[in-house]
Amino acid sequence: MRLLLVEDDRMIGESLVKGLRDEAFAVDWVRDGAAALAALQDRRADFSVVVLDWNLPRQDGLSVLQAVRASGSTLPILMVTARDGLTDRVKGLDNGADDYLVKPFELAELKARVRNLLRRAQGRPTARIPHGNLELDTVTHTVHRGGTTTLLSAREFSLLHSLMERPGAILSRAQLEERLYGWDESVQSNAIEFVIHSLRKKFGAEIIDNVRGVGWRIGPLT
Amino acid sequence: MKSLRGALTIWVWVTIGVVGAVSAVIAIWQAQRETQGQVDYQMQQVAQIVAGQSFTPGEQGVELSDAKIFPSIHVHHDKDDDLIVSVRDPDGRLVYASRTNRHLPGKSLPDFEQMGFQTRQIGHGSFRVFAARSASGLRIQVAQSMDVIREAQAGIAAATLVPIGLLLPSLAIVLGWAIRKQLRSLGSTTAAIASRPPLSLDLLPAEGVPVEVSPLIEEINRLLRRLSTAMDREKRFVTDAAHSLRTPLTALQIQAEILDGGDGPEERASRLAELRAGIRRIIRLSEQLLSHARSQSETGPITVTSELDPTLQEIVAYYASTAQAKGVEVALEAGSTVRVYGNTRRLTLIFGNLLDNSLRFTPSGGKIRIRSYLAGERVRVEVWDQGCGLPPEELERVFERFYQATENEGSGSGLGLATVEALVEQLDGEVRLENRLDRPGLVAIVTLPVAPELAGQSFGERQLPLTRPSSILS
Repeated sequence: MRLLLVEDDRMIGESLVKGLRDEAFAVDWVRDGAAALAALQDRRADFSVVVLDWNLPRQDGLSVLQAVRASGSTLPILMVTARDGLTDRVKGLDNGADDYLVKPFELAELKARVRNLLRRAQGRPTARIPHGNLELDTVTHTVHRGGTTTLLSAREFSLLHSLMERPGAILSRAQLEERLYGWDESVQSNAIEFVIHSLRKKFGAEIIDNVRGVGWRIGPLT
Repeated sequence: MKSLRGALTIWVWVTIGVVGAVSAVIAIWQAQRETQGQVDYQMQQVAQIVAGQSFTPGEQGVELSDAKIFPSIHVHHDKDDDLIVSVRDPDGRLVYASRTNRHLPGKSLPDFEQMGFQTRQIGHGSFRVFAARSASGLRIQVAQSMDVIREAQAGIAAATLVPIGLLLPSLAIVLGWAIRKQLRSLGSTTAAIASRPPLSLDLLPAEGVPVEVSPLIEEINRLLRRLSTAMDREKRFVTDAAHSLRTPLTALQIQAEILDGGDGPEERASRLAELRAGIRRIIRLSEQLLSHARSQSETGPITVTSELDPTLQEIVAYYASTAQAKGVEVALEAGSTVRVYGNTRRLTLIFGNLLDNSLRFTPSGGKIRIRSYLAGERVRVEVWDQGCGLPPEELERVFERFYQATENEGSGSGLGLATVEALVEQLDGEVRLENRLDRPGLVAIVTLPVAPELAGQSFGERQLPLTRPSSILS
């Protein structure tokens, strides 16, 4: 899951990046509205969700939001702001924010809201993604299969989640790397294979299909 | 408490009472004088008429039947009120006596030697008597009972006093009512004030208020407007302050939440360090909020003075370790003994904030230069940094409360410069920011009026208890 974080405060930004990465999000962090728009214009397809601060230098969060919506994008956007007035909240939501979180908030709530946005964007009723005889819980990062529950590491969860989001779709190494790592994270050349290897070790080789020369997709798992 | 209505009513009533009393005294006096004059005139007339009559001796006790010649002073004619007349011949024999009346029953007038008007006691009654001698030698005496005269006087006085007696109380009542009615508009103003909610700063209604009171209402309203402006400012400050706390609190919250995560002890240690930095930031912010609030509450002239340059040296020394840690060199060019207004705490807050800003924006290896010199009547302090400067449109805006410059690292409270400006302006000084022309960076320029060198100044701040040094930066 690649997440764009737009937050001008250095301390909040740094700690949010860490907190969200702990949760297996690939976080890209920009610190002003102009940079946010640039990132979204260049690589909108890469992002699954945006966490957008309202008060930003150069171009505020609201105008970023309006610009994104004006371009026809339905990208899930969570507004974060110190403004707690009703009119502000209504203004944010009316301008196309999918959710609204008032500072100071708890990281756990931010994560829950982000998960919720993703779930709704994918049209799922709950936080669990079923596929064949396997079920991925996006809250606990666990896999339920035949009465057993297995805990996933952040990268394992992230990769499996990416593949299970659209069963049948083939994701290339570059696409998976995009989803698993932020811009400023160094990626080892065989990092993706390493994660796939550990997933296959836990759930059997059939969990992920290798499409030679193209990439990987989730196995049929019947 | 002085009651306008009470005072006015009392004045009106006292005046009416005094006027009434004086009128009554005058009326009574006038009645007495006029009645007396009238009676005397009548008696004289009667005496004259009698003098023209001829009497035969021996007619003693004969009543003259013609009453017309003995007029009564009473409107309602009563024989008892008639004049009593006696006529004596030159030998003293009574030749005529009018019929006696109840005032002098069964008697005739005694023989008085004295001529002219006189008041005499006859029997039990007091009488006004006129005695005269006619040309033919008859001694004529005409008398009237003082009781009758007094009765007549009382009647005349009453005729004057009754209208006054009726008029004055009604006047008092009407005026009292008018005063009450006129002052009722004040009452409605009072009620409008009394019925206000405790913190309402709505203006008082100015319509329907008497001209005499409207200046007072206007002054009160002016005060209310000033209060309202001040309260709005305070409210905005509290709101802004609450908002400004949210960002560092959010950071703290998240920094605390992610302490559990992270791989390895190094990552954990770094997260803990970030949490500590977050705590330091919020402590700093609360200090700045406090000193800013105090800088706003300073009122009154500042008479305390202090030596500027030694204070600057102390500030530079205080920040030396921070500068060293950051790899920034701070150079101070100062050495005069010039004094400026304000205590050292205030000066420390002003220049400490400016130096703190410069340190924050000057990168490692950079240099900050502080110059202090006399420029005419004022002393000028410049703080030159090597930061990135500011866009021209932000040079003034950064003095607004809670304004965060675009390039701000997010660690500022947005209060430092606002506090500096407030503190400098209270000293009748000026502070502004300019971009350096020679290279990127800012110059903060503070000009302050020079305090006169007085002999007593060596006592410094303690001598002047008017200012409250402790209220600046505790």
